[in-house]
Amino acid sequence: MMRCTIALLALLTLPQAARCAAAAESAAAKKFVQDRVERVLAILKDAKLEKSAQKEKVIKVADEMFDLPLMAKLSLGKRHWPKFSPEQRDKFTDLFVTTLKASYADKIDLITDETVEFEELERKSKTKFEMITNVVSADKRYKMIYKITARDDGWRVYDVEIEGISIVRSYGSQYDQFLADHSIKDLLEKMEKKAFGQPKELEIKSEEIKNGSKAGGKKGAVGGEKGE
Amino acid sequence: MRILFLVAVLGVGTGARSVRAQEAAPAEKSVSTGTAAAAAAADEDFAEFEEEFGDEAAVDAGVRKVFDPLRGYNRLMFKVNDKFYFWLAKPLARGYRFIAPEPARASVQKAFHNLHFPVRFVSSLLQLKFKKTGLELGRFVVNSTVGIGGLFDPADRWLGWRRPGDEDLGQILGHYGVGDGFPFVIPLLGQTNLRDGLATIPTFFLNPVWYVADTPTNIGVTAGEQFNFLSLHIGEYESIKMDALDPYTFIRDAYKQNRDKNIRE
Repeated sequence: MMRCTIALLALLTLPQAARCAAAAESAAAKKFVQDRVERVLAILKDAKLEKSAQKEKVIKVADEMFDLPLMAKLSLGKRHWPKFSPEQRDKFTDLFVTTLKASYADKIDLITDETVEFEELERKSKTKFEMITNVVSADKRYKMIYKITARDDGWRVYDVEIEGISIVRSYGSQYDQFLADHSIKDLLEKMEKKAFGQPKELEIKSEEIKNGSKAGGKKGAVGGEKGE
Repeated sequence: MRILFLVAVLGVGTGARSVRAQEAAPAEKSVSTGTAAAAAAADEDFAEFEEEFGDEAAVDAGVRKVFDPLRGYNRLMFKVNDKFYFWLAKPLARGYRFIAPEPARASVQKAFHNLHFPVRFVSSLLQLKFKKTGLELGRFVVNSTVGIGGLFDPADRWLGWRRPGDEDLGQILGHYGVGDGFPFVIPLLGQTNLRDGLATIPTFFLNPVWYVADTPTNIGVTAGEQFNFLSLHIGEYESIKMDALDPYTFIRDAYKQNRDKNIRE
């Protein structure tokens, strides 16, 4: 930072000044992700909050962190997006956003005592960065990459890659494969059905994930019995 | 009893795998054809992200035009594994986790990981990843002794020698350009592909347990490991299933993306 300031003030060489500007931009992008991830973790660690209140707050942070409509569009891709009528696009975007938020909220139940390490920020292009993080769980470390880009209203995450698995790409291939032998109408119907009703066996009880064993045998065991 | 059952099914699985092996065929990579390109060309969002999510990128990532000749069998076995999980494995793992506290199960998992050091060591070495090879060796020595057979991870905690991404025999093949063949679902063990499935066979010989115990014990220990792992990860499969329109293709494509990343790194 110090060296940057000096370089700028002294107006030594143009390339160096440009490099400093880029460094400042990188720092801002890094801070954008780090701040929000830390906020989410703080909410999850706040024992005073009810689970539902936690979810609500976390989703609020996610809302300003991710550009969900852009992710919706990118996952359909230019193969399919143009074939959707404006109404269908709106409907699809709505359903995509609902689905992703629900999925994000569900993942919260899977988080117990994980911590996050922030590694370096990689510049991918003029407007794109990748923030590399590690999620440290009880027995493993997961590599999680936030892909960020500069949008009109500031930084936004446009994709997340967990151990190499990209959300946009994975959802995208699902839509692509579904549309290969179904209509757009079918897709929207199926998404709607999935968004508002999941089979019971997929329900994950948060107290179960939080581990009955830790809270002490009996109480947990009763909760587990009720689970299914 | 349970272990015997697992042994039986595992045995079948291995047999099936070697049969499939003979039907090996290289994966096709077809060139993507531009559709509706004219209409979309105007949209700058797509242009901006073309490199990452465009047609060609999707084909490269293996999520489009997937070569999946065993689709029928795979889907069937996926369903069988799904039922096995919900009806048997999950209820048992649940019971187990009420008995054993999480830190204990995490420690057991770490000890198993430590035990599988040879495979990671050999795989790193053969890919000439010397830094990783050294790191694995250092971690093994420290954790086996100070960490009491790998139950604890002092190498990470005290020395800052973080556990690197696991290398395995399938990754060696991938590293030297062997394609993945086609997707294959193993009974009980789940998604893999021809290359990685075959590579698990010699992996047995790099497992120290193989040399000190008879086959049933050996397979029992392996099943126990899978079971312990599962107890630490209940809810993850459910969560994936919830996200997917078609869980089989979702997991198949995710597996591919994950393997490709591990091979690249």
